[in-house]
Amino acid sequence: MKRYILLLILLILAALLCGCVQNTGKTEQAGNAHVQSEKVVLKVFHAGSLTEPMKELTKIFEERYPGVEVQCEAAGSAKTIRKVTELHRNADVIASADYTLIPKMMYPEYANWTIMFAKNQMVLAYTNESKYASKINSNNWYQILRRPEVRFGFSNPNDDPCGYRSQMVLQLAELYYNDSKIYDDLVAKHSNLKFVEENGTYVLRMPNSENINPDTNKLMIRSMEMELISGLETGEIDYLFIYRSVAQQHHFRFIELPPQIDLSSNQYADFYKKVVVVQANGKKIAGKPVVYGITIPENSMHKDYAEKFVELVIGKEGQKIFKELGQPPLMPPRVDNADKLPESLKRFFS
Amino acid sequence: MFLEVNAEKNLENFRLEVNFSMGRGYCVILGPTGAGKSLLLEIIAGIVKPDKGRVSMDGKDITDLPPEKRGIGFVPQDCALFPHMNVRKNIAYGLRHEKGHEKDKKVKEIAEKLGILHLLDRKPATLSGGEMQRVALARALVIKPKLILLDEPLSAVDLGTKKKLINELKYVRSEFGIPIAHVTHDILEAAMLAEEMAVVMNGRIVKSGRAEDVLCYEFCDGSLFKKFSEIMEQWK
Amino acid sequence: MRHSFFLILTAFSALIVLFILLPIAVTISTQFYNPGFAQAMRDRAVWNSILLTYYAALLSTLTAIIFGTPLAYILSRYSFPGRSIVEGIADIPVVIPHTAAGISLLAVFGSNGLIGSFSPVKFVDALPGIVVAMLFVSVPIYLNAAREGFGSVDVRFEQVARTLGASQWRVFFTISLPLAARHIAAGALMAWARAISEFGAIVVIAYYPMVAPTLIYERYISTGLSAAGPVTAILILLSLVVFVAIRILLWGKNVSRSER
Repeated sequence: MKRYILLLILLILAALLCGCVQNTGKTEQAGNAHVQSEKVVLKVFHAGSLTEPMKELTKIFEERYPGVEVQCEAAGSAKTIRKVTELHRNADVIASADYTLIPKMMYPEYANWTIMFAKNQMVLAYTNESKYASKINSNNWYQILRRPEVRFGFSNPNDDPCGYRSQMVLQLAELYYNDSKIYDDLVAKHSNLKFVEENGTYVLRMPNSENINPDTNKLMIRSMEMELISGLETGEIDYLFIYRSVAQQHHFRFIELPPQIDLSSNQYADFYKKVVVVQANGKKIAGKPVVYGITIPENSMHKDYAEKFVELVIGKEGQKIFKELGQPPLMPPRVDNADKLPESLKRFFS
Repeated sequence: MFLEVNAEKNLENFRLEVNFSMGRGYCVILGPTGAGKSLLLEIIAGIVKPDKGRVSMDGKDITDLPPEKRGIGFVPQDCALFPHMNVRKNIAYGLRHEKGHEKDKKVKEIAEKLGILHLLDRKPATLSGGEMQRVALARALVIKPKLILLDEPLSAVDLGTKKKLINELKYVRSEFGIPIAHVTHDILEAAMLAEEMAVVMNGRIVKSGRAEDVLCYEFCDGSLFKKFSEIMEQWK
Repeated sequence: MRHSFFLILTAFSALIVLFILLPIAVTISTQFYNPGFAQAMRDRAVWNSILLTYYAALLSTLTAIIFGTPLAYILSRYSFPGRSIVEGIADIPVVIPHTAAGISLLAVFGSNGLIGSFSPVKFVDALPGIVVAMLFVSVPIYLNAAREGFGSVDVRFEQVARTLGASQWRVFFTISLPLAARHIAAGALMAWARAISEFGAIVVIAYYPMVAPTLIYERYISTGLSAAGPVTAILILLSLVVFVAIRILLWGKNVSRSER
């Protein structure tokens, strides 16, 4: 019995000791053995598709500011924001794959400015094992997807911007290729999703997620785009609508779609607007170029470091990283409410 | 000889090497704790397979027969009455070819002979040590085995019950005429019941034969005689 | 001295009970003021998903009983070379992160997987996939309980039964199994509960049809806490009722526990 109590005490001591060791590490760095300064934890909540660049940025940031530990949390963009607005968790930086979600969900209580810093592009990813991998190209991709034995995937339009953007791409393809059956043949026939024409725009009203009712022999749907990657890797699906950056980072082969439909170019912004997705929760989203947004929420505990982090993201170094990883940076970055920006960030937008 | 065991069994830190035989009588296997008596019974019952050697009964080699095919009743030291069945079901467990009323008749018959008729609807957990022994005995006897093995049947009961049970075992022996192998460390018990005897020490049979002969041989040894006197004190 | 012993005992016990109870109580109590609760109660999708969850968990538990009981028996009765390896394998699902488990299952039961490629049964995004994921995460719980159950049955009972002429089959079904039944039932109940609560592995292999944990997640993602809360509360309350009911049925206010 005594032995067990001793063991328990030892375990507790060990746990305490570990804490001390971590602390001393910091105090030495601070050059003051008496001050027990806690390491600053900078919390960055970001969209799943930003995982790779955020890793790189974190490394650089922690080298530059050794007293700071950056903790990244990846999730769908809406969920990322909801962590702050609903679960009331403190975040220092929020980065969303759809910059419009920040004003929509966070203004004015949780944030009041958004910087647009990078773009992305919808592509059709596949592997060498995908059916017709040797035949597919940017002209016949929708014919290949039509073949009954071909399966493809997209993320849930209710949950994930990548998901509703996939729907937009397919509907835009109808207009661009002048083939009014593309969406019907690929999605509508195999699920409860359907675009309806209303005054010149095409609207997809999303049912509740449990009622999407996909024919799982043709479609694979998951909540987030990252969850479909294993589906493509294991050959569960042959093709996957996903961001170029993700396809590139996972070394998938991919088809570049025409810029008129791949939501990458400001030039075609008016054309993109023709498609609209209304999510099950009532949120209405019109097609627009994929632009990433970043902000510092009001409940940030370390605004000073958060600003430094945003500087890194929109500065030269950040731009280089985004370019390399397939998410071309916006040059220059843009902002909606320049007057509400913190002073240190204003210089980027003068 | 009715039963012959010529077997070797090696356990982690014990080695049994026996050459045991018995006739159709009441054979007591006597020896101190840890001598290997129980292991010998388990080999006879077929629960433990010997590493080497043969077991034969009635002239037939039964070494490779599983316990259920041997027709040997086994009453372990703690009786091992099935706790989830009442006494009636315990006794009837071995009677599975008989029809309902026939089964019932046999159970009642044996219960009456052993004086446990009033216990039939009780659960084993509610029985005393002596009652448990009688039930276990009845359960083994009811299937008319060719041989009954008793492992220290009298070790867990008080002196009064012990005397009664000894008389009952004698009754069982004469009433059923089934050969019995009875393991004990109690020399007095042995003296009162044995027709044949085998003495086991350190995994070997050191002496066996007619009870009188073995007992005489045992008592010539001073140490055992001393122990005998001690036991006699208890019985007074 | 004795006084302080019980005082500390009670204090620590109360803390741990509170720790479990508080989040659940908060989740449920906030639903009393939520108009979404009544709405969720009337929502067929909610009940369908809960029914599906219970049904799939039942199938997974039955599979665990049928295929897990023999292994549990072997592990408790026989020693053989590689026994500790088998024991270790049986515990692996406990340490694997559930998403990783789902990915591994997809590699085996997916359309091009080891089994999925020739199996006539479709696993991905189908009921069998849900069952397989539930089974994977809950089978160690069942195995351990059943093994402990068989371990608590004295081998003497089995040996004596055989000397009474019973075959190994008969001994197993009339002695070993009934005597281990209480452990087995408890293990099955826990495995069933574990299966109901599984999300991480299921969502990888079968997002559709939606089980209750997926639906809760889905409501949370697309609408937020206000929509996820009611479903969570319904699932908790219902599972609580089922759990308590089964326990009372099986153990009758745990009187019988001290019987032997």
